[in-house]
Amino acid sequence: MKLSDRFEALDATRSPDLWRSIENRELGPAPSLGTGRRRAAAAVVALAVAAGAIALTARAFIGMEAREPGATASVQPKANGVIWFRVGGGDGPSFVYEVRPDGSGQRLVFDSQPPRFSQIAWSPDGKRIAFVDPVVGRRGIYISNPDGSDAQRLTEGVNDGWPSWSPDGTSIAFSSTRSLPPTSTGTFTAAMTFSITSNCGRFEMAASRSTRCSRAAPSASHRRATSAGSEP
Amino acid sequence: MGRVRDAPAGVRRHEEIERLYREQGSRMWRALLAFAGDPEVASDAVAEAFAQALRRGGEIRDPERWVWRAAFRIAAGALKERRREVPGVEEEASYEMEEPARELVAALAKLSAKQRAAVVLHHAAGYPVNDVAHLIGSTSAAVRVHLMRGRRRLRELLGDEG
Repeated sequence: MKLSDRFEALDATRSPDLWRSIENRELGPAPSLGTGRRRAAAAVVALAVAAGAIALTARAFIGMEAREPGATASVQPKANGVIWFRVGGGDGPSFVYEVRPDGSGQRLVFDSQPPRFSQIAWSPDGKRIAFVDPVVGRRGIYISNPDGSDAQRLTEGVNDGWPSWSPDGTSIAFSSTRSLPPTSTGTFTAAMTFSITSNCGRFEMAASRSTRCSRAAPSASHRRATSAGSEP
Repeated sequence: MGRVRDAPAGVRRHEEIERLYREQGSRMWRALLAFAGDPEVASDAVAEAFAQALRRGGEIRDPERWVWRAAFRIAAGALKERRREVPGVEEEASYEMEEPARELVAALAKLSAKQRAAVVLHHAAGYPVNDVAHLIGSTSAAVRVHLMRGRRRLRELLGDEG
């Protein structure tokens, strides 16, 4: 066989359509494309811009004059509609604030550098939170107490996001771009659920569905994280 | 930083980048799959590179070149982060791929990073040598050497004829 034939075979591999996830993606760190002095200069400029952005977004929030476009909000159940929301985005510096629906009672909840709490979702009973840790190397969905303690890592998916609790608080649905079992084709954005009670991830799609608890499934990741006895 | 949808990219540039994705996204994903041997790394690199391009909007002079470079840098960084110096196709890989291509990707994993990038960009992505040199920050002469050695090694590994 010729190498060119193998590259033709590679060309037949079906690729996923990522455009929707691209448009809704929370950005990671900027790729470093410069070299030498250009890279150093770019780093200095980036630091200056980041510092300015943090000051501006914090001032804008505290004055309630403007809203940070990247902020995500979650309403705390059983607490008179108190809202938590994040100022900042991606894995840049960020803050999670609490505020009452009438704008009063502003309080800083998490000042995390590097950031940790993104896309926070309250459990229906208000006792736990689900969140996404956006930092490269730690990306995944977690659950913890509202103060961030007793964190458990549920998934290790690099592109898992937007966790949402089931009404009974026993499972979490989230979106993901993951590989499908061999009976399906390609990688795609799917709705997935993770059952907290059974430690098992379920892949779901419109045309077919399958369940697995293999290496890539959240359950295995969860077991690894918990058996290691370390908080991520 | 925030979600891309909220980024201040102009509408025309947004459409231009979406068109670029429609035209080259699949080719880029396959090239990154060949480079990294992992569909999740490929998907994440493509998505992150295009998302960063959308965010930057008019700041980028040449979106095509920028996105290709960014995607390969992101994929290389992800591999480094995972400490997978020799990426390979896992037996449990759950995406469909013809056997000759699967063997090719497994053999590519045994090349050096520069040889692999040169071979993938030239043979899988279709870029001429000069463009490959620009994309990986090297010279045309060096890329030719990477290609020659990379192809020779692949033939040895795969038992291919030419």
